[in-house]
Amino acid sequence: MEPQAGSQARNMPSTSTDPLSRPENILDYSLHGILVTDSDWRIRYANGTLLRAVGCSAENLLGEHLLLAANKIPRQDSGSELLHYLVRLTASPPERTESKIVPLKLPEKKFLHVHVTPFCPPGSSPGYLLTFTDATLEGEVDEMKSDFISVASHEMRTPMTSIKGSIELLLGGYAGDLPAEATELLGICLTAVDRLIRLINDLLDISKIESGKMELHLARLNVTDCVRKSMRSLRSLAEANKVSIDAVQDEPVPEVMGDRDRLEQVITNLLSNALKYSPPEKTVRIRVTAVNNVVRVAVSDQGQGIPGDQLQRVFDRFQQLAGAKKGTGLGLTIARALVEQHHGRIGVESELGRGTSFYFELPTISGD
Amino acid sequence: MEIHKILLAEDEEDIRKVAQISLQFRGGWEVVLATNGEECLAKAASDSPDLILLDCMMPKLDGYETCRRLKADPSLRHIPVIFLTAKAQEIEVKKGLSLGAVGYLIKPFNPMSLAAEIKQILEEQDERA
Repeated sequence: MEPQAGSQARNMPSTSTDPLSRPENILDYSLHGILVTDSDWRIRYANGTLLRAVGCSAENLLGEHLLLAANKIPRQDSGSELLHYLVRLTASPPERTESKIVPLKLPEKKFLHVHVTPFCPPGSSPGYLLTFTDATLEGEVDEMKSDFISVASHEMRTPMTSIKGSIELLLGGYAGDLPAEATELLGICLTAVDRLIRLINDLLDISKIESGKMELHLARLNVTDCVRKSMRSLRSLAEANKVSIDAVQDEPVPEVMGDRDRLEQVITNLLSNALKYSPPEKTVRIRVTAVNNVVRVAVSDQGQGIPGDQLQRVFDRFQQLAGAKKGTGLGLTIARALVEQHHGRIGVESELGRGTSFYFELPTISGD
Repeated sequence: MEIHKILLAEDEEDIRKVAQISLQFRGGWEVVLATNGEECLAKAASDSPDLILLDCMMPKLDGYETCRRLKADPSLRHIPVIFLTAKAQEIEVKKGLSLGAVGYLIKPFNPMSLAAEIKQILEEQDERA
């Protein structure tokens, strides 16, 4: 330690005039930008780290609504991902801590890890604690990983295609009639190759989404159309598993901006999971509701439920639960990424022995 | 439209082989092979195929540019072109069709149904014409 710093520390008076005796002042030295709002998202506190990062004084921000404040700050992120995230957040506030890595388009490319925690201290008014942490390094490592997966899966797909094609030709009689054993073994090969191709496609989807290269073709749409189409495509799976699908919807359901194919992909994923895990002779319910500027699609099964300790991990890559049916382990990860790219939110609720409900929410078109 | 000879332009050797077998075996057609866009243009002129199957991503000359040149050549523009695309990307497909292709096939294709799909595209084309 330098002598000067040491003497300063020793001379620091330990009375209430000590600037560091107030926790707010200590927080100015935090590496994290910290923001506290009331339950209506009006800013009650911003630490020095946050103020320096956005180039604003405390007077400019205090008392201001989070979204107005976000619009006022001089250093704007031209990608406006952060703003979209905050709009989504205030439209449907979280009930427990949630976090997200948000890409920023600033001259120095950055990723920001945002944590939001609702709090309700005894004897004081409730609100939200938001922390903003630089995640540029993690973000960049993630990008490299995504690029690698993307290149590797592209390279794998071509030989897979040839293997699949050759097997199909053999099974189709190109080499004449095959002995039953050969047909059976080739059938096993074909199933395995199909699974590998699905896995490769899922990996490509993931890497595209995570590197921001997945382009959504956005249009005004009614999610009930997507629900209907997904139900049609899964009819045979439902019949095979002897599960009925019950669709319920609010009238009218407001429109959202979305990519039809991708939303169908999300719904098909949630619905096919529910069908796979539903006991036979039971019902899977898909419900579309509109509340507080969001459209919510919920898919519920009456299966065995997911234990609490596994519940928050279901969206993580390759997190197949004990007793999971054959899948790639990427479906829910892709679903979450797609929903978030639509500036929406995905979640799950489950009760052991009663069933599981997956839902996602999309913001309705503003002005409606 | 009656097809006798198909020109298949595809740079991946294995896929070329599987597609060739499939076209001969299921369609009963004669198949002429090209491994890139330039070769495709040369064989389109020398072999007078009835149909061209054109991969989008190829070295030297990609499928799109090859198609543009085929359609710009008065002696070749009558040959129908079907694109082979790796993924059903709407933009890619539109780009191919705007260049004068009659249709597209998505890879990975099933070699057992490739011939049937080609026939279907040509029938739809005849109905529109």
